[in-house]
Amino acid sequence: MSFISVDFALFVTVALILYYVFPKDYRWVILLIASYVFYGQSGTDNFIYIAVTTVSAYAAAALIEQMRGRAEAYIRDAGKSLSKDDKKAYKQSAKKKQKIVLVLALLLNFGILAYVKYANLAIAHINLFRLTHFGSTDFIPFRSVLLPLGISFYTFQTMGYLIDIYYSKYGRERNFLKFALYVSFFPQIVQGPISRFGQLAPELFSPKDFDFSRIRSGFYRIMWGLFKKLVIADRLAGFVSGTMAQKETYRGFYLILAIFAYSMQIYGDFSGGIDVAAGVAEMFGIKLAENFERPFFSKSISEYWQRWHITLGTWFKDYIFYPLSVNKTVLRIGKSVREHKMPALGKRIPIYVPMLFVWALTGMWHGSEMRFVVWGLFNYVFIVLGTELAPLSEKICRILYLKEDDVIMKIYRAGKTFWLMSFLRLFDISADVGDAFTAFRYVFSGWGTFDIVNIYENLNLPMEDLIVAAIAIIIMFAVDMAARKGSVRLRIFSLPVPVQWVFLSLLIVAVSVFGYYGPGYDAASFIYGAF
Amino acid sequence: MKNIRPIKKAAAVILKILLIVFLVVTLNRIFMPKYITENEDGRITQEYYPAARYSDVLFAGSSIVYSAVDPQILWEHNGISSFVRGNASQTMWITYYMIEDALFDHKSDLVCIDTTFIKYDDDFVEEPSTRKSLDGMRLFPSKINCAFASMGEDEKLADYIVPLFRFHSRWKELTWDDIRYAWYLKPVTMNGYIRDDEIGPAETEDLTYAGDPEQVISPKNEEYLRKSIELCQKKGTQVMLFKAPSLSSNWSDALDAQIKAVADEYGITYINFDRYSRDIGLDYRQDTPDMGSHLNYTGAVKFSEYFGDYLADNYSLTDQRGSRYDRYWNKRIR
Repeated sequence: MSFISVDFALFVTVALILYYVFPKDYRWVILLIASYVFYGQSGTDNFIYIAVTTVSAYAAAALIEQMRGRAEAYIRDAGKSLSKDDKKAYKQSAKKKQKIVLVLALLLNFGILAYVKYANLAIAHINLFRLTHFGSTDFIPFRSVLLPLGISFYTFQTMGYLIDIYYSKYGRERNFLKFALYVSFFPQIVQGPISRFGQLAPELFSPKDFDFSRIRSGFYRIMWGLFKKLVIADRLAGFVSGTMAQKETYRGFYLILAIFAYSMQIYGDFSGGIDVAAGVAEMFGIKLAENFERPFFSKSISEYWQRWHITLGTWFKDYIFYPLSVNKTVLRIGKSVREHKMPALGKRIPIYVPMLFVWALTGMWHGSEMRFVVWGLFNYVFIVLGTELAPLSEKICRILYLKEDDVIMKIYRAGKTFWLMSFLRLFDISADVGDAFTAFRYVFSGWGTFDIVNIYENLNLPMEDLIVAAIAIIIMFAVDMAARKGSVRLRIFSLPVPVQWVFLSLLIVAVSVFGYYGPGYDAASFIYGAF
Repeated sequence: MKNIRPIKKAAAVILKILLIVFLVVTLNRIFMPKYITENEDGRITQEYYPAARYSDVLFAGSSIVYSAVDPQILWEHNGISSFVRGNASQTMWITYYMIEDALFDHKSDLVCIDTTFIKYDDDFVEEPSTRKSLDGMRLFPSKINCAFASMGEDEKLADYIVPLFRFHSRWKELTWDDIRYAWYLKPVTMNGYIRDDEIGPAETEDLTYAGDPEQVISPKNEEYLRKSIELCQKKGTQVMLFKAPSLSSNWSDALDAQIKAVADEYGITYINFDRYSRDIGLDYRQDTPDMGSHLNYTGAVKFSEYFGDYLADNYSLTDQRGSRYDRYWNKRIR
């Protein structure tokens, strides 16, 4: 069931009615049933995957807490009969056992994720290797595995929970069904955000009274998400894919335009989908974590990644970067390098080495092909360069009497970041790494025959669509700008009712009339819905 | 006083919902094709409702009917007040739902069902024709059931309930007429009849059917034919089956025999008017715009006069000339 369908609208309406009709204590049950009905629509085979994740994480969390409880009780009961060292040794031994449980659960769940995402890619590489090196045509057959809906999102969310339990960040959820709801909550299962238990559980299990203003606010957010998805992203999709498919023809200017258009497309697609998810959740009185914070206003790549897909970034930071940066081996290497007369490099190792892992994994998360890993590593390189060259940049600014907070400097930096991020996305929209470099090369050719007077003649987009896309993008940026000073929706709601109606009517007209949906359009799929 | 606030709040919510509905309905009306200068049959369905109370006889069927039966001739010649609920490629199931929709709140004296489209298979789907039949239909269960019965695999019910979903991409081709005629347009058809003055002579007047002599009416077609008859009889409405004159290339005597058997079973009449072409006086060298498939105006006049006489002689119909109907017909007559 797609977010963009009448079926989904009816589904949410029925779920909302049932949710608010039922007593507060049982409302989470309605959400659980709704989530499983929604998930079941994607294929009943998928149940097995989410069931394994739910059961294994619940059991592992229970086991970890039980082991911890037993160890604490044993030490408490033993009192002074145990020496400090014995207590420490016992604690360490118990922690080790808990770690084994944690690692087994992580291996199982990330193993499933790796299998469904990468098994066929691995088979393809093995077959190719055997063919090229041994001439063997005895190919390993591909596995008929379909990527279960939202597996990357719920696996990361659930494993984050398990790691938090291991580190005693909060107590585990004892009610299995409530835990199942945390794993499967339907608005966020398609493309996130990746919520934390500490943030989402109180929202799920402390239902609020019915309040029409929440329904209204959620509706506005859904419509805004649909505007970004249907009016911008889906309108540009054909232009981007068409231009990239014929990049030999559309070189230079047109290719750059397609690259920038893809940035708009993916932002509209992903953030639009998140807005729909957040809007639906808001109607149930549930606040989801924000996943975007005006990323195109970022002044550096590292800032950009703090504002784009925020929940994935913080997941990697909390569960990969921080543990690795305090890892004994990494610290030892850093110390050793520092002692070998390279103090500056030694200081950076606990940061840059974990960061390398984070970016390689981020690339892999985005896709199973090598181009995504290369994309991740390029991000890494640019972040490192940005950090290392920052002093030089500051020096140049001082020489040119430019101030960091000058509007021109802010625009320059935001523009530079946008350019870099857009060009890095060539790996996303190209068939492979080589294709991405070819596209990059084509950007610099074709300028000799570029005819600025007849730009439109060669553009792979009807004029009417170009105008609508341009106006919609300007509106999107204007709203993003306005959002810097607080919620745009709250400001609209404080306006006189007739003015509110003008806004709502314009939004409904924009989405229903100018949206790319209906016969001939594939509005149903979200780019991040495939992860 | 305490109770007033929730009532006010509820009223405000209801008002907001109504305003959204009004906005969507207005958009629907603007974006739906108007079928003013071409494909006028797309207007027939919606033009029926204001004419319903003056329609004692209902004709239902495909384009063969709306080009052959002229209600103005029936009125002038026999005092029969009628309406043709026909559309291009109107299948038997759409015909059934057109009748159901008409009989829901209006008592017709007689329903004449054209069976020409019974010759097609059950999987016959033609979205533009279905849309022309259904877009003007009021949002009653008949419309929803008809959409379910008619939709192709890629079609969605929502697109029929909210036509804006289907036609929104027309924003590039909207004209002032789309806004001007969004809420009202004077009838384009003559109670469902679409006049065609073109002449496209047929190459032959041979009425020997070339269709499969073994052809069997498909189950869905038969089911809806029977349902149509049963519905009329249940509502106490006289009903007859007919095949309007047409040199259709794929009709067969076998189809005639099967329809006749069904008609006999229900004790009603079935007439294939192809058999009476000479009596009617049809001349396919000048009475057709498209080599015999349909009748043009001269053909329609001949057939309507003949058919009107037959209906007046064989069914209990009131000559409404001189009644309250006069005002309506005086306005409608060309």
